[in-house]
Amino acid sequence: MTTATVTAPRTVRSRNPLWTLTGYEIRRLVRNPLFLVVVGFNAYAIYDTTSRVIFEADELGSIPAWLLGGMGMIIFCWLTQSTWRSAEALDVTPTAMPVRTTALCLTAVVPFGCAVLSLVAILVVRAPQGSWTYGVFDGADRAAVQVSQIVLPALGGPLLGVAIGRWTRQVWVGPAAELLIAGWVLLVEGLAFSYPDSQPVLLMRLFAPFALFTGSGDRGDFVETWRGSPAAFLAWQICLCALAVVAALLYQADPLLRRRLIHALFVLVPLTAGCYALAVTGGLQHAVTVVPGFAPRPS
Amino acid sequence: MRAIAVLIRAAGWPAIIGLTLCAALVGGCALTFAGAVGTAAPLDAALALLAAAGGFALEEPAAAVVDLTPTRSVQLTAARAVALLPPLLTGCALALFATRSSGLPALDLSVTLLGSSILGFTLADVARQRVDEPGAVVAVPVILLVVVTPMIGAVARHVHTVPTTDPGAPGLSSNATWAFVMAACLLAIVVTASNDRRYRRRLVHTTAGCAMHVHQNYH
Repeated sequence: MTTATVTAPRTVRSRNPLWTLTGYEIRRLVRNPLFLVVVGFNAYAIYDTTSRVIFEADELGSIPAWLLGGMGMIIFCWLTQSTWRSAEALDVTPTAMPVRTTALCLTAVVPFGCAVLSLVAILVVRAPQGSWTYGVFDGADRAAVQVSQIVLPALGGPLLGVAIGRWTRQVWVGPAAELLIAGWVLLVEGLAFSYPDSQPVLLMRLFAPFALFTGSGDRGDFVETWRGSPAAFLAWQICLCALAVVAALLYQADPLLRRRLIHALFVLVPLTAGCYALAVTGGLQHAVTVVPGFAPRPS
Repeated sequence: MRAIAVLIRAAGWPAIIGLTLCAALVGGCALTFAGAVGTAAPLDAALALLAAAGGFALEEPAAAVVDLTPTRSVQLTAARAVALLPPLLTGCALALFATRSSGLPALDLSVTLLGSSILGFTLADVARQRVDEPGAVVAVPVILLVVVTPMIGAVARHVHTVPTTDPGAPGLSSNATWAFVMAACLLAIVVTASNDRRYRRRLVHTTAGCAMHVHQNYH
């Protein structure tokens, strides 16, 4: 009697197309020379700033925000727009547009990871003059300021870039949007220096994806803590990230997904407005100046 | 005149106009509040926008055809310089506005705004030797140079890109910085305009393509 041994055919495990696409997009991102330049520039800028004495803790946060957040926004916008060139081939694949958009959004985890590493590097390496360089913030507020300035812009910028890239085809819109946001933030920061207690200036300063909470004199002899709640501002930034994702996913979404996204917007928009209101009304009720060796006093 | 009109038709006009309008908005706000704030920091963003606008003047979507025409590089670059007018005029308007609204010297501001537009145009001219639409390629280096580099302490201490009201500020003044940048830009434009590398590159590619086509058909 002969015995035949039949080997069962090896089953091919089909991988979720979302993860496959995310892998491709991450590979495209890390091969982008512009992204490598930005990451290298960020590392050098942090090294340069931490190698000298720091008189104001906030000044470190703006570097990763501009580079990983601002430049990341342009890079992600172009990464998204670059798929227009191969649209004829991509549109006949069975992968729907929202899946491709989700993959691009998930790719934002790379600059986010770089920002987390930047935060760790800043916390480990820097040598501030003293705790007064943080203004009157301590504990949770200080952590909220650092996360909102260093980590979250690196997530929100790329997500906004994906949303812009999905809805526009012009390459100049990404840089223009980045510079408009930069101009706005620089303007309201300058106004906050001059009018630290002004309510309209507070409303303008926190109506941005990035905000400073302290300012210092040119000679670094005092730090002024401005109004507003850092924790609520952090929540506002997270809501803005979610809004950017929803705006990106709305592009060419099927009716069912579109309805769900619009329902999500009904929740997200009031939530964002609530967080903004809390950021404006919470925190200090007037600006406070901290001079080393003296008790904090109202500005 | 007709030749210039034909040559500038392909410039990235939507980008030039869009970026110039954004620059006017940011620069206008910066100068309006400069007196109250004591600094014109957002002017950095306006400078980068004007420079990026200048970078889109040399867009050539139909480069495959245009590069083979007998139009010399000098002619093309000179004609496309006309597309710099919107950012330059905006720069002049901002400088005039500055004399009324802020304490910034109009001449210094004019040099700064002129320099930024020429920087964008020059980088595009250099990039155009290898890229058909250099606007996007130029936009990011310009932003890195004009907005982000001054944030790095070592550079900020030695180089000023925006005029200050303090005449005794240490480091290279904005006039000296932009004069140096403009001299380097003019040199780069002269060098790139004097050799028609893109014509030769396209000619070599086309000749090689034709030869391959003939070879395949023959066999």
